[in-house]
Amino acid sequence: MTALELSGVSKTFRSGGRSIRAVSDVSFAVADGEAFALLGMNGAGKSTAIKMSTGLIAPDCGKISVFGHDTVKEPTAAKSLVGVSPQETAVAPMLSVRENLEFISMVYGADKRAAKAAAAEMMDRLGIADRAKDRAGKLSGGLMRRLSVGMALITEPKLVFLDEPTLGLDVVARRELWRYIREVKKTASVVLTTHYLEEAVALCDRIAIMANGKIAALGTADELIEASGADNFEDAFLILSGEGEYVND
Amino acid sequence: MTKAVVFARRNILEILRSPVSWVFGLALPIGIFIIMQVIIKSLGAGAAQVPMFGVERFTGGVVIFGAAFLSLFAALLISGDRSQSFLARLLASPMKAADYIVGYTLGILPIAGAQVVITFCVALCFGLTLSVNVLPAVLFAVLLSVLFVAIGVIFGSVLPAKSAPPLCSVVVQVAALLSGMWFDLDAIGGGFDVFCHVLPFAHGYDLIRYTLAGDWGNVWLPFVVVAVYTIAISVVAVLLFRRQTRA
Repeated sequence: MTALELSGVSKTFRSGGRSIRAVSDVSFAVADGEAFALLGMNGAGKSTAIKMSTGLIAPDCGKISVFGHDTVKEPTAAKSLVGVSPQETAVAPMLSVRENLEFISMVYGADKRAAKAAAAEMMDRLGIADRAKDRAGKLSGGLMRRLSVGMALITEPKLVFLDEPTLGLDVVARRELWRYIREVKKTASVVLTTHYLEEAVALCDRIAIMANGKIAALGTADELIEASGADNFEDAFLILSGEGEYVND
Repeated sequence: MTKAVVFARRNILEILRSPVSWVFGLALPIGIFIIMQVIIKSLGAGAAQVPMFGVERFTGGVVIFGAAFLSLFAALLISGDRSQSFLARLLASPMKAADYIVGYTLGILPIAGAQVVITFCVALCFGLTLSVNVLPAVLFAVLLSVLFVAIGVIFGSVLPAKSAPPLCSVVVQVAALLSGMWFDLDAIGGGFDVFCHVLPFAHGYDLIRYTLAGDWGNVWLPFVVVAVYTIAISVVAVLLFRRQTRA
């Protein structure tokens, strides 16, 4: 079963009389249970691809489906299978940790009792049970990001989008979150965007590199290193992104 | 619970837990009301010289002033949700367009209702006559609240989080200034009076004061103007919110 499939997807934004083609004829598929990384320089088209995949914006052309549900024609069915952790922490600052988790659970249809139970379990899994009553807006950056990921996962989605989930975290917090993402991989497909290349290599089965709105390369980390002729993944990323001139810097 | 009610509950908590809401939504308008009434009482017979600030007329002004702050709450909430991607998280959920509109509205209107009721209770304490006119005045005050919530939704939908609240503060000042709560527009007359009555704020003030006075012959015009503005601005608010968020 395919968790996510993009077929010939394009998106152009118009601003001030200019047209910017953010995503151009992109096609790829993420298998059920696969962890998939979407890498690229700033402006490569990753965020637009994610926004289209999560139904936040509609593609100009092409088709996107989540477990067979077209994100444009069957948005509710597609969205009910998806969890999203946006790049920003995206928590309700005046609600407590517990209330944030319960709120998202209920938005996805859980009743109050089920939402309470799911929130308690999620706080235990994320190691934030001792902060249950703290307001989300008062949490440290690391804890807030952990909560944000928890809000994406509390509904037990079959496909999870994690947009730079470890941005701004210290090394310990990042490794803790990695450990948790590995747990998530056992029950859900994961689409990860990150600027930390080692994160993509450590967590993901396959990696797509986007450049200028297109998929420039797709494969396992080893396959990409081999295809680029580089010695390591960072150099491979630079070469495949069209930035090979920086390899020896 | 429906998704809209769940969302409304979250919005109520966000607003009630913010000190800004209590200061601007309640303390400031009620505080001004009390201060003005204490001053008027201290003037004794001289109070007849400033009929603007008599309790029956000034109640209408305070209703407008307090309701105007609801635009600030709506703008703060929506622009904050947009800028922190909280709205993006929700837009990726199975919530539907109506859930957002109903959720934001239901989240703010109970607070508006409480504000209106407290305003009238304070007015009664300062000598507002308890008559059958108070009930329709309360209902018209809620209508004015909807108008200002819609204005806030427009600002929150199109402006970034840093710009929406200050611009709504301008709306509050403009609404208070042009409503006629601080000076008699009839006495000023001329182009300024006409300009003020092109906008809904002076009509809102007139609507409350004529209703409280039982002057039903003069109520229909401000009511029609306020109702038309409220419907039109609410439609624009919904369309802009949907366009900006693609909800």
